[in-house]
Amino acid sequence: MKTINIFTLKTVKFLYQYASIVIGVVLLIVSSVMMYFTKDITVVSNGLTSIDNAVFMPRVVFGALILLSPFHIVAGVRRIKTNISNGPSDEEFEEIANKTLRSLTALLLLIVYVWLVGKLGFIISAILYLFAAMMFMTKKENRKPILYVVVSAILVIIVYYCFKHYLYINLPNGILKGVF
Amino acid sequence: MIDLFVSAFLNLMTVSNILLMLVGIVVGIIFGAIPGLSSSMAIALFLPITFGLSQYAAFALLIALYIGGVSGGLISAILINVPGSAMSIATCYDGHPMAANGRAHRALGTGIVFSFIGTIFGVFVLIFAAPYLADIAVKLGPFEYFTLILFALMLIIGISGADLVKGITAGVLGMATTMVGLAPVDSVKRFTFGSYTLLDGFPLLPLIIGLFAVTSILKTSEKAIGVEDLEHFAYKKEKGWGFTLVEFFKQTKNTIVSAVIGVIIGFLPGMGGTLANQLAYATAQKTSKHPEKFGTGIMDGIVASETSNNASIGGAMIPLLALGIPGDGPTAMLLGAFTIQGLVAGPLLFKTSADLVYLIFAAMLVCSILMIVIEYYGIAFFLQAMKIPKGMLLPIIVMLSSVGAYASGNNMFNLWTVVIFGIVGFVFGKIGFPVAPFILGAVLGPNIESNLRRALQLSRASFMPFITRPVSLILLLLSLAVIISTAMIQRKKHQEEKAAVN
Repeated sequence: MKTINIFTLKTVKFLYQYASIVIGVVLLIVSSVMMYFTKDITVVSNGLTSIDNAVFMPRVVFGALILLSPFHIVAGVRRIKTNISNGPSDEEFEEIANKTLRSLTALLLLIVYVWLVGKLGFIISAILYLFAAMMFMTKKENRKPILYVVVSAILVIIVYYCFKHYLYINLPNGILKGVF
Repeated sequence: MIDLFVSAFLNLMTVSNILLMLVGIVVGIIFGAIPGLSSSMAIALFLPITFGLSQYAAFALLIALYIGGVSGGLISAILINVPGSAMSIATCYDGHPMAANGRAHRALGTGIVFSFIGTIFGVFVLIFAAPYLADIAVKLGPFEYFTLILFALMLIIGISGADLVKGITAGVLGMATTMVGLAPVDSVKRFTFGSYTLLDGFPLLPLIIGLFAVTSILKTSEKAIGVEDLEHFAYKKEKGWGFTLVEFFKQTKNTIVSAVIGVIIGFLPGMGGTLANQLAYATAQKTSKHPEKFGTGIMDGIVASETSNNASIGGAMIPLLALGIPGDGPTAMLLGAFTIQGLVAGPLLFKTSADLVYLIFAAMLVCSILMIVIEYYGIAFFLQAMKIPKGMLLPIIVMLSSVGAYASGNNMFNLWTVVIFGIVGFVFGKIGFPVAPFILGAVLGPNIESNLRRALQLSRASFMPFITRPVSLILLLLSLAVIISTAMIQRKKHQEEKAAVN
């Protein structure tokens, strides 16, 4: 856990100091790659003009992003000194890193939930997600696990029932296929 | 005309019709308030039921669903910072900060009252000017549509608060998301990498849910929530609508401008309330004496967004009734209802079924009144949501939103879209990129491309008509003026900051 914290701390510090440069470089690389892939877009021959085709707009959009990226890089280079001298203290960076870690954990919970919906079905994964997210978001001393389980289970079943019977939408059943 | 109106009201005000409208408004509000569900979905759900109803009853119900659905979006936008639909995005900008400052009652009251005013304004324009406005809508071509969208994008970038380069980048990135899937005009596959799920591109509703709901939970998760944090979400008990008559009349100019924007954008096919609320918000901020207060929870922001999106209902009905062209999702569903009832929407409808047309007008007025009454008495109920600890409420919102996202396309890709754009929103928040231009880019990307391509087809690849057609030229000049003024304001701000440091 400590290694992750140090790694997060270093990443947060680096991103704070060089954010605009990183944004510019990432934009440049991603847009260039996308621009390269525009070659695979079929140009149908019935266009009335040379620019009336499906490649035109992607080239304009990714071209614009390629042109914008140097602005971010230059702005980032200009701000390096200010960012380093006026940046947060080590303690503040640690706090930012801890907050970021918590957000990433919440994101991980969500990703696992969506992945589980496809595997276990909506009912089980939504109950698990609600319980885990409620526990995670609430301070240890204020947690009410039994309430969370009851609320999660009742709510998920009501939602499932309403969608199935009133909206005619079958949410993924997963391993409960045939049960509900 | 008055005879037709009286007769329409008499036909409408039967016990069964009033009950149907009440049900429609309540269901519409629920669908509008739950992120992922929409008024289109509510109308689609009830469409089969209208088979067994008379023409009058069917349209009374469907209009109620439409009006309730558009208005309901403000509830979740204000209370949980997640817009019920794309039409209420701008309501989040000031509605939620006002609620977070303990004035949730005032925020809801403002939203409800100005939703009502917007709807009534739109209906009156529809009644008195539908045929004339429909003519204008037909005369505007892809050149004007393209420049209008460009202007809207520039305006949003101008008020986004971030520096110009970040604003433009966010807008272009939003447009980049619409490059995935089938191209407009010729349906050529783009960036699908052999995947069938990518053929439709990134769906809009899950994208918005991700940007708001997921971003919100990720941000709140930064700190564990305890009992002491609940005080922050407490709300002040207020009387009436939560604002005074003086405050109400101070919004006169803002209301008129926003309502006009709502109607105009509403009657342009393909635009609708999604664009109207953001454009009205941007205009209100740009013309305000205190633009710096926007985003902190002021009444003006809610007024602009809610007046315009509801005024767009009347606007969207203009091309539907006068030309038979649906302007947005719900009106496309209503077009289906005309077919079900054996009618053809369009210019002849005013002659062959004038009684029904006036019944629709009357239903819109009655539903607006029902909406304001129901929502007024619902405020106390809606506010109960603020009492639920955020540690419980936010996961529930994310779960409900994810189900809505799944339901909007019936596939898992929609759920992954929620996650992807949740990450995008979170990263945007961290690096100071504004979300508003990104959303507008994503919403209007297909429109901007299809109109540009149609325009270039018409002009045989010449860009000259963009400056030779007067409306298009004016909009281009306005776009340029917005960008230049924004750049100048930012330059001045930088110089002041530099001087302060030195």
